[in-house]
Amino acid sequence: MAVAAPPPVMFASPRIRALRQFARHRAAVAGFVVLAGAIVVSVAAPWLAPYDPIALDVAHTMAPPSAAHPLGTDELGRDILSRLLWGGRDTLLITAAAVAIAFVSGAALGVVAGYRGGRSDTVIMRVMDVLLAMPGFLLAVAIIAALGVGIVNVIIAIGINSIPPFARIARGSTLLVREETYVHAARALGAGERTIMARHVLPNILSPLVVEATLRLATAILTASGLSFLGLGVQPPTAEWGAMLSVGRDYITSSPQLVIIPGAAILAVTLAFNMVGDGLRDALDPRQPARANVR
Amino acid sequence: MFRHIAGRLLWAVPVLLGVSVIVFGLLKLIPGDAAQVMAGTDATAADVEAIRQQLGLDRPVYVQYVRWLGRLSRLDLGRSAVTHRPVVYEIASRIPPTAELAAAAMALAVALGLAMGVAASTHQHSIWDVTASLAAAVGVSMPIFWLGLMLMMIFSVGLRWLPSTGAGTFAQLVLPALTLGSTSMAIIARQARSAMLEVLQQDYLRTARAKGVTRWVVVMRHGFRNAVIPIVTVVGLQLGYLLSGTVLTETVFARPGLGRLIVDSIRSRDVAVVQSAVMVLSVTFIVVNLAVDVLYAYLDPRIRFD
Repeated sequence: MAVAAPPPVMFASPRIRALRQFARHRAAVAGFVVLAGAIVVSVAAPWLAPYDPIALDVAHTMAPPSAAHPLGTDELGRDILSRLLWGGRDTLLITAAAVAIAFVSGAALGVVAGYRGGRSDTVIMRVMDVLLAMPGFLLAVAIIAALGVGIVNVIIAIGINSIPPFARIARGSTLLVREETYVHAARALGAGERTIMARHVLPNILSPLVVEATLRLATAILTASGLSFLGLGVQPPTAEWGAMLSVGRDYITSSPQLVIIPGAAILAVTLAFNMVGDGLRDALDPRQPARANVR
Repeated sequence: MFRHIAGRLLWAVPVLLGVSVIVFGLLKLIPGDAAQVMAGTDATAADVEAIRQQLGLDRPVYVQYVRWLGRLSRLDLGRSAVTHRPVVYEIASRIPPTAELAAAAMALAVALGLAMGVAASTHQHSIWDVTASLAAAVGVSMPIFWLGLMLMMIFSVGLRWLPSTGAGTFAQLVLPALTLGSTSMAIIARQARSAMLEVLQQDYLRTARAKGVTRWVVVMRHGFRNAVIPIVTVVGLQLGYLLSGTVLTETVFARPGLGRLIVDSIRSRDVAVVQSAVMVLSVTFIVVNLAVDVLYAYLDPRIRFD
């Protein structure tokens, strides 16, 4: 006898339900579209950009927008549109790498602290408390002061700076999951501590960590571009949005577009990450109240 | 309550020590030789060696750390490698502009943030609520250095209403305070709105309204007073954000404060100044959060009478 297919709406999998929930969040969908566009455009920058982002053209400096240069040129005659596209690559790469570092190390530390408890827990979480006791951006600045400027060091600085929230969330969720039947069952079957943490605990605490990662990406963009703006991050002539702003401010009276354009790009992408993060939180983690965005 | 406060005070000691280890350790990593920077480019090897011994840089790292901590506790922070003036002097002269900026930004953020948040909660789903939520979303995502430049473009370059740089007068404080306070304002508004919405649903509020208490008294006395605790926590955390934000804001508006001192000293490799200035800002942050914890205990009778 043929078994009737289950009605699709009532028995949707958690993933499908989360996706539907996300799709209902209009701001999140808008943010997702902006982000997808920014990522595609950044990845395709070498093909999309009409000019070389660091090629000088001293005959056409500070040109207003025209057909040849849709967003005009900067103080050295470089095409602003091309620099914006290439700059997006650097900005997104830095933030993604930094948050990935923080996600992996924070999750690992938090799971170990939560699962093992005892001394591991005390040591790990007290170190996190100390890191959190320093104002976030200041810690990043201090790390740059120690390591020196440059893309890799910005990634390290923001990465370290972003570990504590991931560790805290991972620890809290692990404490709940640790007592679940399936964890007890795995232990009774003789699974080792590492296997339990990696196979049974981690996959079940991913939702809040993913939400945090999305919101952290927003903060990381502001930190990365802020460091570059101070001259402590990506160095000229590389086209990074914060670095572009830093140069543009010298021409604020004569060519305001050098300031307006890169800043608007930073704001748009940051806003998009925040909106997607809020939507994901509602979809994946409905219990958690709206988080106060803390830097 | 005393146990709670005493616990928080005791806990602050290891945190402060931990922060000092981080600050000291980080700046030990700096490539280059502090003695060489201090001696200048045309010093002989013997001069550099003499300065190294004088600074104790020839001793083991942990000895250097303990000595540094000892000097820190006596506020003997050494001399700037660049200006050769005592670091205490360099820092003390930069504190007033930064304190003024952070206080003004905080006042602005709290006043406007609370007004926005409370009004949005009492008029939920109105056009005002939607606008406030939108403004808060943008405020949280705003690169403040860009906001500062945009405000400067509009009010200094365009309208010529306010000066764009410097510190000391009230007019010079307006744009930087607005810039620095914007993000915190958005976060406080969000928190105030959600805390108020929660309180406004409570039964005792319906009772108060039913017995004919005026709307203002219902919202402010019955509502706001009970929503204050979660808001206070957020405000305390924002101070840390404001302190680090001074680094960016003071650079945009060329204000001679602590934040700008840190950036300038990193560029000139003035390790003693960077170390001390970062320590001052971190200690301030820790002390403020401690104060918030104590205030929290005072405001929340569940902790006060525990």
